[in-house]
Amino acid sequence: MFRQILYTQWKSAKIGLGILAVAGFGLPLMAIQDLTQPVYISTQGEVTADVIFSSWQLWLPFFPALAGLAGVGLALNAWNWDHKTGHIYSLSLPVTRWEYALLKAAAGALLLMIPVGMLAIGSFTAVAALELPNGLHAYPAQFIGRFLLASLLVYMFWFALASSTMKTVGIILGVFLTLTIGGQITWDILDNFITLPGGADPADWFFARMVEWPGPFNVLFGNWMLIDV
Amino acid sequence: MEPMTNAIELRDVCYRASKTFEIRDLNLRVPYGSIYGFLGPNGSGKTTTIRLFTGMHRALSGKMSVLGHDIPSASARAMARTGYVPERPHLYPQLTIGESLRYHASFYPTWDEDWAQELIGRMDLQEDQRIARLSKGQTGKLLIVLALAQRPELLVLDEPTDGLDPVVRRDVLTAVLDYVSIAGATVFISSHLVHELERICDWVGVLDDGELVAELPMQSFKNGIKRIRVNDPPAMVGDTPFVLLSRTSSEGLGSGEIWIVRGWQQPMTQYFEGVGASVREVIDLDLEEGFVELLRSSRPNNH
Repeated sequence: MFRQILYTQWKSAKIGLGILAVAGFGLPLMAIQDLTQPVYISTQGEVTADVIFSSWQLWLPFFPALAGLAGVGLALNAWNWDHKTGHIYSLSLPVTRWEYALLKAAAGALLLMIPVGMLAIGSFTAVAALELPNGLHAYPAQFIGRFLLASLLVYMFWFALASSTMKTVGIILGVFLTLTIGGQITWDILDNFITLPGGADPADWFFARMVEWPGPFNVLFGNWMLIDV
Repeated sequence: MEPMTNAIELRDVCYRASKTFEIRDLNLRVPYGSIYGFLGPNGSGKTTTIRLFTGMHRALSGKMSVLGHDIPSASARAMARTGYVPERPHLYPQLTIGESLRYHASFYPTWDEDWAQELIGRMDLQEDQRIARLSKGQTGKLLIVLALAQRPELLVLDEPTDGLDPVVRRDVLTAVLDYVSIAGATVFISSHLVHELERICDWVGVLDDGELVAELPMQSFKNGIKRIRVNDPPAMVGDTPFVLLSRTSSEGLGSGEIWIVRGWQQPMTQYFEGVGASVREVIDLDLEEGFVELLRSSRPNNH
């Protein structure tokens, strides 16, 4: 049963997975590509820490973006056809809804390991190609772990959202928008009449709770350094 | 409350699909081993009813059971013994026929691969054909193969021949009837094509606007609905031994009327003699005419 669900998802996602896999392998190599040029290598035969950090900063946003893209893509792929057919096939199968959703979630998570695996190969290759200056270390395992966590987090979030009916998604988004935009408008209106505590803007507060530790999306915004002190 | 003893049983089921359509206090019994035709015009709630007792929709109230399993709590167990053909194709378009068979088979422990292959051959389907490229007829055939190859005890077919050409329609119905004759399965088949059901069903239920307006053996339905020309009909009908569906004055008959009745038997002419009327002619209605009259009589302001 699981193998068949996995195969079905693989068949509809294989082109996208191929692109993600190439990106996963290529990004770490492209990020260090300039660092292997002679102009950046010191007389001691090493690239300097400054060069490494500034070069990596240019490429840094691509890694969480790739994790997000992989997560969202695979989550939407898992439920795409079920949505188009009103979930009739899945609901008519002799499995409980929870069992079916878990099988689907596990299949998508397993497919996610393809870009993660390719990123791992790319990262280890990139690290092996560089001779690091004293005081700097490569953290490929941590870097890949962060990518894995980030992509899984985005995948599970979107998987849960995509598995819901349009009505449920509408309610969730409605509550979210009401709390953030509505809260912000209310706050701004109140601000004209009474003295509100500074630095407690509700939209900022909500965003900070999401992305700052221990917020659920912190992994996407934290330290994405493959090479660090 | 007495236990449910039918293959499909619905008791006082209510469901609100939208602001303008609801199922109200639906009671339905499909006996084991029967071929039950579920008739109704488009939009009458046939598909909604099927989705209720297969556990896809949640009823607001009432009790349902399929093959002895409570719905929705045990719908997965009921569906493991049920072959289902939906109103609209629902298979993954990126798969081939062979892949679809393997995907479907993985969910059913009773799947009979040899028989699936035999059906594929009989239906003239090729395993390497992609679902997305199948014609409507080929898709209809494949859905029947998927439903039958799991060797179900119950077949639920939601307008399985709708939009199919006569040849494919015959292939599909023949495959179903062959299976029933071998396995003795129960069949629940919904359709608005009255003549199609007339040939194969032994029970019939008629749904209109979310209400079951009749449920009876096909033979009673076919033989029991009559158009009767009545001379000197009574103004007030009172208690009748049959169900009067409608009465209209008939031009050219003087004080005559045309009555459409259900549950008619020949000795009932005595009723008319008892009220000072007489029966001039009793005309058999075919199933389609009977169906139309039944619907007409069930709707408000029908007289």
